[in-house]
Amino acid sequence: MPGKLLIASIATTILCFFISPIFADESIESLLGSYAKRADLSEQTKRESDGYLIVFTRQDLDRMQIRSLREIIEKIPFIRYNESRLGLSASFYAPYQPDPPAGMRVYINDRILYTPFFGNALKLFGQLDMGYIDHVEVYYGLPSQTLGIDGAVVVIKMYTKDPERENTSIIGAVAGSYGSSELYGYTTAKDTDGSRLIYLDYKNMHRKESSYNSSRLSRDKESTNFYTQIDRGRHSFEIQAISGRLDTFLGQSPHLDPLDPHTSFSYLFGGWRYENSEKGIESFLHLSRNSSDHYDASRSLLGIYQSAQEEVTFSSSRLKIIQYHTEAQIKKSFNLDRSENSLGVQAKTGRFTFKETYLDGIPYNIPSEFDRETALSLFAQGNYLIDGNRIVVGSIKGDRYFMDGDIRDYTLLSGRLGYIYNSGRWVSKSFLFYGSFAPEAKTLFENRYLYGQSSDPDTERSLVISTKLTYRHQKHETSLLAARYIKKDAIYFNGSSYYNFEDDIVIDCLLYEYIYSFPGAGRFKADIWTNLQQPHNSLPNRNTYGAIADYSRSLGHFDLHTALVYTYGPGLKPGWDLEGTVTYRPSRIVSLFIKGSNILGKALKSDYYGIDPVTGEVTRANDLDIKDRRIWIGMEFQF
Amino acid sequence: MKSIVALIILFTLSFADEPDSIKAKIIGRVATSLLEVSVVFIYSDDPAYEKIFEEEENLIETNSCSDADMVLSSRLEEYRSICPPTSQRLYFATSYSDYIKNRDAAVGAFFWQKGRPNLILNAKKLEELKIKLPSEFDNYIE
Repeated sequence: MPGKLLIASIATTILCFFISPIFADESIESLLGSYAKRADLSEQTKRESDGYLIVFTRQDLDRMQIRSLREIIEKIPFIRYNESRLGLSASFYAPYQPDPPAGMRVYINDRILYTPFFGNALKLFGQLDMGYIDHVEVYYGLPSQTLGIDGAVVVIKMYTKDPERENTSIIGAVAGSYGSSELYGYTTAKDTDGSRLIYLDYKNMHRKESSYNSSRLSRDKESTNFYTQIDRGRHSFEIQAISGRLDTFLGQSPHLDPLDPHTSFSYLFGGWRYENSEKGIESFLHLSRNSSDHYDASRSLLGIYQSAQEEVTFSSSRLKIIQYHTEAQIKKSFNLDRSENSLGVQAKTGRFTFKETYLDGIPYNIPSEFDRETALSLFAQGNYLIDGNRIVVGSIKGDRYFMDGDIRDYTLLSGRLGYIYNSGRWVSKSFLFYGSFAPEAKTLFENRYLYGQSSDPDTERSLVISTKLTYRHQKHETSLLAARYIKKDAIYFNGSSYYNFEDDIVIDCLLYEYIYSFPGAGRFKADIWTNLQQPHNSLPNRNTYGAIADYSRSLGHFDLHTALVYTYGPGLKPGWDLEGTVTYRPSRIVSLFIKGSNILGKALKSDYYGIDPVTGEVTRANDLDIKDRRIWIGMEFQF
Repeated sequence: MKSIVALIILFTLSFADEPDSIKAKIIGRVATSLLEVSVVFIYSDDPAYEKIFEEEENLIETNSCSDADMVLSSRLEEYRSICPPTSQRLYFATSYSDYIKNRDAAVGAFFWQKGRPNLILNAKKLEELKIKLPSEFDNYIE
């Protein structure tokens, strides 16, 4: 990275804190800023009663020059952004452990980003471009399970750009450290029948390479993303096609000596949505197909399999998986007395097929009768307005998962009660949540067909009690959140099977937040949070601490953003991530930006290890960077 | 149904100003500054501006463009023959494409583009009409 660029980036970050001219509240700039904020699309989509909410508005995303969702995840309280040994986004990653079933769910509009076998598609979408996204809502602390078909500790809802608010065509180019580049463009059109958006992005993301055990460790990613949205009255149609290639970092190599593992993938999606606000009816149908071709190899050993006579070792593998996912929902909203209610039914089915499986170049037949899961869910939600200051919210959801083959079926129940008080100056929200969650298909599959178990793990259950008190005065807002999260029957891997952990896992969460809103557009935000995990007989204390300071503002032709994120976790060096962005708009046609991330080079690192399946020998690679020290420079033209 | 939904939405908005009232304030500020008067008679056919000026003390909505000091529309060309633009009757566009089409007549425009509200004041037209605006508008003159 050029040293001068780094110094310039640090200087602009520091300057951001000091450049703050005073505006009269009613200046035209201030009025325009207030209008942009209050008329933001998020004001139409966010649901404060569904949980604790952070909104990244369109202007926030523009000021931050967000290049991928992973940059947002690290700004969510209680969450430590991490990447798996495949170099993919996985906030709850722990070596050899399954993804928690109620971890994080990500949606684009109503569509869950999900693949039937691997589960949460955040792993992939966390790294992809976001140029077609208007704003992002983050609901945390096990928000309403009716936000989507699966409940989660964190639900991220991304909403695509509204063609009627874009009214333009854009092309842009970005260049970054290590030879990264991105080209993108979109156009919108509006006529008497409706509107449409067409978006195309090519991204060649080069990451900093490292080496270990004489192996090159690469997390480079290349992708092409096409997205279109057509709105016609009450109907909306979406099509998305993504293809690309990922270098998968450590792969599955037990001795951490991979030989260029990589995955080629394609993702196709088609969706239809219908909304009739007069009749209170919303429905959608989503279809997706995901194809991924995984190549893995290791200098020494990659794995073993049981043949008819003996255990056979192999050092390379190729596996192609095709996954189909269909989901549909119909929801009816209605009012009764002083309550706003909704009832709905959701259904999804997922199918996965293993094709072209080779171990050391020899075809291998994966023994499995399990290739499909189907889920049916019923949900109801009600918000009862006691008076102008108080509201009670409640929701209940039941799911039935039908599994193919000899995998057991699962019945899930979840419910939520909440009380919200809002006097304008004081706001309090309190929620009680209980839910059960089924293991992901990959966990069930591996347990049966890789580890030869004859039974399946039980559901994981979560109980959360939480409260948040907020005080607002003029431009200031301060709040305190306290929550207790009790996880029962948590699903773990013990080296030979997945099982339900017998102790309850209790985590106490505390968050202090302060927000100052600048007149017009922009804000300063500071968060301090901690997760205090109580020790158990077999688990040590694993407290995590974090703090975020975030400054975001528009000043004349400039947009400024800077953030400092601190995270401390057990057994890790504290991570300091400083980022800064300056966007300059000299005219309506052109905008330029410079962005630096992990400017100090001290962002959080992660530890990885592998276990030899024959000898049990553990190989460790510690303190590997999750976030590269990087500069981005970009230019955008508007027509 | 709408009333309860509106109540519940209002409940979560911490009693902030509604977007339409801020939009009306912006138009009011621009119109009074352009015409250098305290009250402007305004005519609009744009559904996005329907009934939003009722609470704005600087603006009085008229039923006919001929009574208006300012015509606010995304179809300005339709008014050229019935209410031609003069120094006493200004044209203001509510879409960028309409502004570009009527750049010789429109003194400015207010519209959404690239996800942001945009205000443009037409430098050439301001000069032609000898309108001197307060400095707070300098960033919007182009």
